Amino acid sequence: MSLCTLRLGEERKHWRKDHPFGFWARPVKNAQGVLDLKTWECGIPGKEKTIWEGGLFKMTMIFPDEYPTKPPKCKFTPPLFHPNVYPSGTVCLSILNEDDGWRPAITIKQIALGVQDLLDNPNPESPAQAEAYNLFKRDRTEYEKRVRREVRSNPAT
Amino acid sequence: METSLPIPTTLPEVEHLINELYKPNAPETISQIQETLQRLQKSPQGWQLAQSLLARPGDNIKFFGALTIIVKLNTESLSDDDALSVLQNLITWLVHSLSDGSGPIVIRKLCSALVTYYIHYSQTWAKCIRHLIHSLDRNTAVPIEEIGDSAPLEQIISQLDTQKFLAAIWFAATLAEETEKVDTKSPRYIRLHERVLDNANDVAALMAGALVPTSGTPNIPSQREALICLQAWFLYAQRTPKQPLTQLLRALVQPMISCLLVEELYEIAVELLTDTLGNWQSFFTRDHMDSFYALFESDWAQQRYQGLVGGDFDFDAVQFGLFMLAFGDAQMIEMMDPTDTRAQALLAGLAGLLTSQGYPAAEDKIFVPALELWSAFVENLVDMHYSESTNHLPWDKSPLSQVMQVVSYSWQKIQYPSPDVYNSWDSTEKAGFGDARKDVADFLQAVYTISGPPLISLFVDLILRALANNSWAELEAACFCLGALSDCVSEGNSYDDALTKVFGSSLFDLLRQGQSQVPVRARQTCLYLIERYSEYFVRHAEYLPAALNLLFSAVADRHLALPSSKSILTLCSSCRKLLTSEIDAFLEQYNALRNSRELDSLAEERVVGAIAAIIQSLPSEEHKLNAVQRLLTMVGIDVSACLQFKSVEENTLVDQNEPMVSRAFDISQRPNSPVRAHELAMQLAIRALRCLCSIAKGLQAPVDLDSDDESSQVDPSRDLERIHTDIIGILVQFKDLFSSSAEVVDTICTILRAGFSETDPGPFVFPPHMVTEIITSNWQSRVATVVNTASTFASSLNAGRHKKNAVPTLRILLPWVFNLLHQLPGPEVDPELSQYGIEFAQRVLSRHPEVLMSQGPDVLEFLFHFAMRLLNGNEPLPKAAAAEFWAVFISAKSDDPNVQATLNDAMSHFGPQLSHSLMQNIGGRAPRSDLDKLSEPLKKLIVQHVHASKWLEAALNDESFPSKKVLPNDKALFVKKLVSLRGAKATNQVVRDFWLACRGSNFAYVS
Repeated sequence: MSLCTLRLGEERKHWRKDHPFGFWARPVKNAQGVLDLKTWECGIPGKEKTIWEGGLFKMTMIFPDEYPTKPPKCKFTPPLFHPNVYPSGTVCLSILNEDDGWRPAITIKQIALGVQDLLDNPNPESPAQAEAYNLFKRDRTEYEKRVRREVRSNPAT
Repeated sequence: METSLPIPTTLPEVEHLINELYKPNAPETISQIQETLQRLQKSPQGWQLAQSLLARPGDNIKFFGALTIIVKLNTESLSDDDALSVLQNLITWLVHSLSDGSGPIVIRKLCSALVTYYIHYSQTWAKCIRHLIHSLDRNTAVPIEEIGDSAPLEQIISQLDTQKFLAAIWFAATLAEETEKVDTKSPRYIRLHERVLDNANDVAALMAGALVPTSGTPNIPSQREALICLQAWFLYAQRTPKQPLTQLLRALVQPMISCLLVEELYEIAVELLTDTLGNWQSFFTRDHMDSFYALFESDWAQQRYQGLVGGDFDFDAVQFGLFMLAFGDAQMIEMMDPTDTRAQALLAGLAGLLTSQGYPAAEDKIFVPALELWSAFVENLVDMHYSESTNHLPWDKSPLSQVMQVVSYSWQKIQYPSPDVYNSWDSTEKAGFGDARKDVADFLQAVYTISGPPLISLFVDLILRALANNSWAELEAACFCLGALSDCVSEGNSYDDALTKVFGSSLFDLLRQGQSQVPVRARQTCLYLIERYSEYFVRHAEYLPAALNLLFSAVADRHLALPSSKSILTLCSSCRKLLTSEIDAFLEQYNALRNSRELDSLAEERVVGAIAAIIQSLPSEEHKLNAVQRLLTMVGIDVSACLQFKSVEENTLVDQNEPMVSRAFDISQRPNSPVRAHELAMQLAIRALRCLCSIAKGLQAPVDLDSDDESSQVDPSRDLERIHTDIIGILVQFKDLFSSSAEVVDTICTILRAGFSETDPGPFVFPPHMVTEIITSNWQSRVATVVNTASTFASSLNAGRHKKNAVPTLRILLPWVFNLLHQLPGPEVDPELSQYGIEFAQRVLSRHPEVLMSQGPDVLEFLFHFAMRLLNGNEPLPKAAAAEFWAVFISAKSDDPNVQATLNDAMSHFGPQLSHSLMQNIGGRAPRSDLDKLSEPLKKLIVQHVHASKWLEAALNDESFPSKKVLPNDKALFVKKLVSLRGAKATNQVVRDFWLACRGSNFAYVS
């Protein structure tokens, strides 16, 4: 088995034993019903006491063959209204950037928590979509209104 | 300001300070004392002080003396001889402390000091354990050279009294804990682990002394400490695996198992065994495993097992369950072998863990970990199943029969309790129960991989049985499980017959009777089941009406509005072609729904979107337009009401019970006092617009639809033109009245965009002149959004039947955009408008350079300067847009020689400025995240322009270049690399490296 799949097997075990409240994450199954360890689907809940509370956002993690040397690509499906999410849904976050904050020791749990944290703490330094970024910077009331709509369309229960 | 205390000069003063340190004083006082004492410890008198303190009475004083020795050993370097005298002293103090009534904190601290000594001076104290034991035995620090290797240690250990034994075992435990943390890469400690391992035999003998007593009654405190010591050595051995040590530890497993049976030792022993089984399975031998089997078969284990299954979830009981699961995890392979009767018995026991009394997570603490083991077990079976396809396991025999047993147990366990019980749980318990249900869903999906369709049938039968018995909790759980399997069975239709039993049963009729019959949770789950199997309904249109009727009946129920409307949208969208004949019924359903005061806005949007999707599939234009008209008429009611409320005096109040109030506000936001008419009008406008938006999206042709007919070139009919005029009329009115609201502007723009991508005529595919007219009219806010819409519009004109309109439309839009930019005092005033404006110019430039270049010279000059300012600015998105604009500009080509000449002139004129701006950015001004974007125009420049390297060199050597960290030859080399790469992808890395060099390496991780 490759280092990539060994590590993902371990990650899966760890996630099952210990995952943060309200999150879910699991590898997808291919057409034959066999697990594809390199593609995970997960649910990122909005943090309590933030405008994202009550929402659960579906995200796909795609692990390259070079994982854990290289980070997974995280993509919200459907794309999420958020300053650091590209129109394609891909998340722009330093710990997911090979040239920046990614380290092989970062676990799936840490990624999930990192993305959750990003929801309410966007990074205005690296905007990924104009719509959410501009509203976030210039019209906070309207931004929050839009976020609440996202939450209502993606309810946790 | 903190003032430091005077350094005490006498021993009593020091003692006083130490005693004060351990009293409840103010934090600042404590930190002052601490700081003073630390200065004393580090002073040359520290050794002397420690010695004096250790000779004084009082545990705190002695403790502090031992601590001082540790500080000294860690901070000072001694010759071997000096070190040895410290060792002699330490042992002497330890021996004394054991007899002078000193408390355990003193003894433990002295043991720590001895370990600290060993870490730094292990070469002087090779046989530390042996020497310490001898010294303790003889009540004196025995000279090291007197201790031979051969003397039988066991004898001496058995003679030690409890106090001495505990001191030795504390030392041994600390030795493993502390040396394990030492970084052995440092040359100073390189041989430390070898030396530690030289003591392994003695350590094992010491632990065996308590755990395997040769005579007399076992000493419980010694045994407990020996187990703690063993735990430390297990961790040490895992980190530093060495065969001899592992062998020695293996010999202690049996005594450890015996400790389980001793009440006082159970907790520590069970934790140690569970952890080791979990983390270090290879440690255990076949014999150990046999012992574990024997243990689990014993009466003792059976008693504990029964307690747990009977609902005892005390710590000890749950620990036993976890221990059993850890052993099961170690026996995965054996448990897959149907002929291994002992392993099969264990497997049956593990299945039984899922039958414990109580609700998972909220009460039953073993369910989730037990199910986790089962999930792993099934996955192992799946692996085996696929790797050895010849070896089929029979379903009616273990282990598969056990798996099915677990399916049956878990289905029963995830049934919801009565609302009273559920509501009495706190949020963690509720969430835990919800997570346990998800775990079961995962487990079932794994089981399906080996079981296939029989699993579907199982839940179908359970649903039917529950229906027959009116057992709603069972119905809910079985529907949940069946829904979970929908992910697995999306391919093919082999399970349709089974599903038909459910969807053709009395289920839908029963659910339609509402809350009085079926509790809301069961109804919710059943609706979810319909959504999960929407594919089924595409194949079985005969059940579609019943499903949709049910869903529509649930939309007006506030608890079910969102899930049911979601299902309606999914079903109508994917089964649109099957539903066209029912369009009248749908419109009537919607009309009826609008009378409900509870109709949720999001649910309504989904319903109208669903109906629009069916309309999209209607066979004739006449039918389509007729149906759209009927929808618009209903939306028109809101529009008229809105206009009416807007027409009254601004501060007029409207009673909150007025029917339109319930359309303007969802239940959760509904006002409980009169509301301002204009506010009401605004909310109605938003609701009407959002419905229009949903209709527009629903009418879009699905992407995957097989379009056998070419897009029609026919002109729109009169009816269609009238609908266009009506809709645009509404949009213009709302724009004029409400475009101070960002939401209104955004929604109008989304409605306009919905038609851009369509190839066929349609109610929301407006003629270009209408779109242009509304876009270029007056907007009260967020004109940037409108410009962005104009960009998308401009791009859409390049394709399809509006191609001929592209140039004339751009000739109107372009001056409008430039005018907006021109009115800005500067690009930074409205970065959003600047960004979208430059993006618009870039799109025009890339497809129709002649339109852009035909603008007057003043206009072009303004545009290029504007683009340059954005590139030099700090706003990330406009900067990126400007970089893209310049990249397009550099490579812009035109067939028209006049246009090409203008492009060339502009390039020669702006080339040096552009090079300057790029080099300023790449020279350190830009954040790292912008570098890839900035590399694009740079690459184009190198490829397209002969003067590029000259311009770049000039820019790099300009006085204003932001970095002094790169030398002239670095800059020259940079340009050389750029040129030789000829715009290849590797340019980006060269740019990053240069940027890093300009910023200095400290900036490596600052973006």
